[in-house]
Amino acid sequence: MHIDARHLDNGTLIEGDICIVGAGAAGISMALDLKDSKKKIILLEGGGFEYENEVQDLYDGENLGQRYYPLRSCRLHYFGGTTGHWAGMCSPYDPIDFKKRAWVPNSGWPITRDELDPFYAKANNILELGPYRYDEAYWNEQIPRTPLPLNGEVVWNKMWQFSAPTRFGTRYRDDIVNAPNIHLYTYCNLTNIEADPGVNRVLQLQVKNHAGKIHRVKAKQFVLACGAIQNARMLLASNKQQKAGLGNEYDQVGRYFMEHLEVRSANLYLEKQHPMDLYIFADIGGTPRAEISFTEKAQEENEILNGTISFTPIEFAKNQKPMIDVWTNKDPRKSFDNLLVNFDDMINQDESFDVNQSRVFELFTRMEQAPNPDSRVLLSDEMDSLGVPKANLHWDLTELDQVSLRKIYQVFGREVGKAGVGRVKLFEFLWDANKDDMLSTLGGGWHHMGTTRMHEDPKKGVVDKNCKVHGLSNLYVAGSACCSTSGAPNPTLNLVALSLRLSDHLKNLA
Amino acid sequence: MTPGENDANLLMEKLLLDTENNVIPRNTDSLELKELLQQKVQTDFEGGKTIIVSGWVLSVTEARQCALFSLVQHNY
Repeated sequence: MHIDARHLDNGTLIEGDICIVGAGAAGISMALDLKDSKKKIILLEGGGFEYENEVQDLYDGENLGQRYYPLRSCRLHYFGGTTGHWAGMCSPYDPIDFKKRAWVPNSGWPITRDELDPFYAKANNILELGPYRYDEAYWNEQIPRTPLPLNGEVVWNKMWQFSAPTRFGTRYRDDIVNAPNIHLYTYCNLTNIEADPGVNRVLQLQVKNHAGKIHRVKAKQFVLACGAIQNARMLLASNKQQKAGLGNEYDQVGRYFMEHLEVRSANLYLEKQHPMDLYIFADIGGTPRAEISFTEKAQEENEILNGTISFTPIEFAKNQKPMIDVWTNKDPRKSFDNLLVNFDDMINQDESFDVNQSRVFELFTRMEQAPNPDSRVLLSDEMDSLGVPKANLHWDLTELDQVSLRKIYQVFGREVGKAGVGRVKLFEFLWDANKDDMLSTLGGGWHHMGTTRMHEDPKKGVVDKNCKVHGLSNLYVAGSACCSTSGAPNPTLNLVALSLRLSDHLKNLA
Repeated sequence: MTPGENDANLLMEKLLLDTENNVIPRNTDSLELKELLQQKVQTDFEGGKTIIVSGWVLSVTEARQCALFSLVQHNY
């Protein structure tokens, strides 16, 4: 059922069993998973079914730290959320991503990769990917290709699958709207979370829209599924009962914001031709491919963060600009168009081009960010048009990020030399080991994580292992905000898996 | 390779030293030299003896060759 909240009487009370705030990848995945349950699901979306400037404006904010994309345009605020412009790249986090690593401060999740595996498989279906197989051996049977002859004790081929990409807004609209137990309310922007007087449980939400309507939502359980920046913003902004905001007794909300460090980093010069089709991005929604990853042993020995290397033939890379110089427009539609223009050479490549004839490849890093409490979402003094303080971002990187970037290419360069494959040349920003200023052309992947990180200790995180906010018995957070560390892969598969794990948990609650 | 190796003779000595037998081969036949250097490069990479020179991840032997070339060019 779909209800446009602009047309409800002002002050309507909306009631259900589970209220999910946000209809993006996380919220819609949870609703789909709860579709056949006996629970009445209230799914709130701030926008409608299409892009609208007035709604998108609610995401505006300032960047106060490391250079970053405009906050207004790096997410989408309508039904389907940011899946409206995602690229579809999927790979699960590695087992090491969940472990406590001595060389990575604040690392370690309270859950393991094994616990998440069943939900990764379900997420794979929702994202319309192939079989839940990410091992090279399987894909080599399906599509025989020749890997680089590198030492498996140091590096391995991490497989990526590509969603079409699934645009949740169109793909799942009918499933959601036609489900008898799902009540989708559009134009319901969360503006305040109200807890009981003891601030032990959430009583109700206040939602508003630009038609001037204010409604209330009551449920047994509430789930914030608005994305990592917005989830933190709403907890911080719900500060009428606790000055620092809800779930923020220990000043953890909004901290540990993580992105992926995505940057063009080096060139690989092959000594002789080698088929590289295993590693090359073919097309959107195309053939699974590999990126070079580093074994747990290599990460530990070199004390590096987890990251991967992808390859772009120099014929395409030479005309591309860094993403951070391309995605500069505050209008997400214009930035997206600019992005497509940047990839024009690759998208419209000459059919006669054979990647296996190339000898020089640009190496692109996709690396986790070290969890850092100073990297954070903060409330602005400015209000949005619905009276909620805007969110500002202070993206902050550390020495470990810089050192790891450099070491990754030292290690890879050594392996490439050892195997007689060729030589690696680092880009200039990585030459000096003592240089500690982070590159201005470094970008992120538009991946927002960690702002309500998972930790069993409320002094070190915002949610517990079930994604429940510490100190509040019925408030949960879905998606990548719960990530304790960010892994190397694009986060959509992971955030959908985490969300499905949460919906599975909620199914079993009274 | 360090500032202490900023000397063509020293670099030649280090490059020619057959580390397996700890001797400098008397025969300086170019093919044998090439083979020796290739072997040293491989040994360097396997032993993690690499260095970054103007961004290139090179074996120490390769870096010494570059340094020697640079010094010899400079002297001419």
